[in-house]
Amino acid sequence: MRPLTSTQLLNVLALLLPVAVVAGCLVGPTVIPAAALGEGLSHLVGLSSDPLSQSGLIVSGIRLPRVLLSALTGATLACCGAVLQGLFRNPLADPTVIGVAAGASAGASAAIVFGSLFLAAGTVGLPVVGLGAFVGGLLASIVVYRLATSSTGTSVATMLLAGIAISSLAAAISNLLSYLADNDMLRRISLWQMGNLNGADWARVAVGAGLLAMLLPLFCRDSRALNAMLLGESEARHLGIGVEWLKRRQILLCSMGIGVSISIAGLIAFVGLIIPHLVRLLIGPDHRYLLPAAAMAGAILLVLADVVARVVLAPAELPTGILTALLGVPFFVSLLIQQRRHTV
Amino acid sequence: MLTAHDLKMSLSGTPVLDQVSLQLAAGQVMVILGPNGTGKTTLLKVLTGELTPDDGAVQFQQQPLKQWSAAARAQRLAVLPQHSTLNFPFTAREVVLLGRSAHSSGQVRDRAIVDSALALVDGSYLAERFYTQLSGGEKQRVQLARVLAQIWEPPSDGLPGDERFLVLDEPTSSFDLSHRQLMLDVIKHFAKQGVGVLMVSHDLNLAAQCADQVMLLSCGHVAACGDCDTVLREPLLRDVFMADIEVVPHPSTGQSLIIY
Repeated sequence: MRPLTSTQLLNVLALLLPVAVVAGCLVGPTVIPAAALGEGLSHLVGLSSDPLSQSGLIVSGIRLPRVLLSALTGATLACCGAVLQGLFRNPLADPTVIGVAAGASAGASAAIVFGSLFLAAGTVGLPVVGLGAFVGGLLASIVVYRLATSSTGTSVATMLLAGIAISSLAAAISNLLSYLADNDMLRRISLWQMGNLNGADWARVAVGAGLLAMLLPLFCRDSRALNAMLLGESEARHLGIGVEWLKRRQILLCSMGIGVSISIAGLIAFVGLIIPHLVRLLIGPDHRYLLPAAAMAGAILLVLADVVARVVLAPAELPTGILTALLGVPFFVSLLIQQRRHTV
Repeated sequence: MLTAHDLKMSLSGTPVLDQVSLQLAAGQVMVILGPNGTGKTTLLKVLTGELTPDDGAVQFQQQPLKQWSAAARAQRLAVLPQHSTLNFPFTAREVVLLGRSAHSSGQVRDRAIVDSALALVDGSYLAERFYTQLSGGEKQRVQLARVLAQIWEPPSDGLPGDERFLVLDEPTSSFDLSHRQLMLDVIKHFAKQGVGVLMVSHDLNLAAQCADQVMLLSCGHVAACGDCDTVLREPLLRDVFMADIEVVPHPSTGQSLIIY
C-alpha cells in the first residue's frame, strides 16, 4: 500500500507551498517582520503608494522575486524530470545526468560569444541567451536519445554513457568558447555559469512564470499517454498512443523547460531527479497526479533550499546549485544501489 | 476479418517471412506454431502494424491496417507481447486500467471492466499489489487482463467495422497447469463473443484444444495451414520440429493429443 492517496498529497503540498513562500520572504540574513511582507505586497499591486520602509523594499525588490523565481524554477525542473523519466521509462533520467544541462550551458555560452560578435551591443540579453540554452539542451537530448534507443527500446546503460560523453563534449565546447571569448564576454559567461538565484528580478520571474504556465498544461495533457508509455513503446502504440509524436513533443518541451530554467536561474542540479522519485514513492507513478504534485514539491524544495543557502553562510551566500548538488548526489547514489539490487 | 496477403519480410538482409498469407474471421481462433526463429513473432508484428512488410499487404476489416487511426485501431485490436518491461510501481489494477486508455467509457464503467477482467484471469487478489513485486506468471496474467479490458466491449466510436481481435504472443509461457486451463477458457469465452483470436504458442496441445485453424511455420514460410486434423499430423510435425512426436486420440475427448 502507498503511504498517501494522491488527493491527500496534493492537499498537503497546496498548504505547504504558500507557507514556504512566506517563510522564504521573511527568513534571510536580514529577518523581515511579517508586517513588511504585507507592506511590500500592497505596494507591488498598487494598493499603496507610501514610501516603503527598508524591510518593505527588501521584500518587494529582492526577496519576493527571488522566492518566486526559486518556486517557478523548482516546479519546472521537477516536471521536466518526471516527464523525461516517463519517456525514457527509467527513474534515473535527469537533465544533469543525461547531458541536457551541459548542452544548455554550452548553448548559452555560444549565444553570448556569437551574439556579442554579430549582434548590436546591448541586444544580447536574456532572450538570446535563453534561446541558445534551449537549442543546446535540445540538441543534447536528441543525440542522447538517439544513441540510447534501438529497436529493442531505450537502454539505460547506453543512455548514461551517452550522457557522460555529451556532457564532456558540451563542456569542451564551453571551454573552447571561453578561450576564444574576449574579456567582456568571458565575464558574462562566467557570471552566467555561476549564476544562481541571487540574480532574480521581476523580468526573470515573468519569463519563468510564462514558461511554467505554458509547459504545465502541455505536460498534463499527455499524462495518460505517459502512463501508457511506462508499459513500453509498442504496448503504448497498441493502446492507441501516437508514440513518435509524443516523444518528439515532450522532448522538445523538456529541453525548452530545462534550457530556459538554466538561463534564468543558473544550473540547479538534481531537483528533477529527487522530486519525481519522492512523489512516486508516496503516490505511485500515475502522471495525472505525479506532474502537479512534482511541480508543487519542486517549488517547495527549491524555495527552502534557497533559504538555507542564504542563511547558512550569512552574510555570504552559498550558490543554491551547490546545495542541491550536495543533497542530490548521495540520493542519486542510493538510487543506483537500490536499482542494482533489484536488477541483479 | 484480418487478412494478410503474400507477406515478405527480411530483417537486416536475412529473409524472415516468405509468401505468408492468412485469413482470420471474427470469432475464430488461429494458432501459429513453429520452431524457434521461424518468424512467428515477426509475423505477429507485421500483422499488428508494428513492422512494415517489404512486400504484401495487411487488411483489417476491409481497410488497409495502416489507414486505421491509432485510437480506432486500439478499440478493435489488442496485443499481448511476449515480454513486459514495466518497472514503475503501478498496482496491478492500475496496469489493467491502462488497457482502457483508448476508450472514453467513463471511470465507473472502466473500473467495473477492470475488476471483471482481473477476476477472469484469477487476479482479483492481486489488484492492490505492486506490479513490480509480482511473480512472472502473475505479471503475465495481469498483462492478459489489461489486453482483455482493452477489447472487453465492442468499439464505441461509431466508425464502420466493429469486429474485435486479440493477438497473443506465447501467453502461457510462464503459466502453471491450472492457469493454462484458465487461458483456454478465456480464449473460448472471447471467441464465443465474436472476438477473433490469433496466438503464437509452443504448446501443441493448447492448439489442438482451442484452434479453429492452425498455421505451421517453418523457416519463414507456411508449411501447412488448416484445421487441427489436417495440420497436426505426425509426419508433418516430425518434419517441421525435427523431434520425435506422436499424435494419438485423446482418451476422453477424442481430439488429437500430441506426445513429445
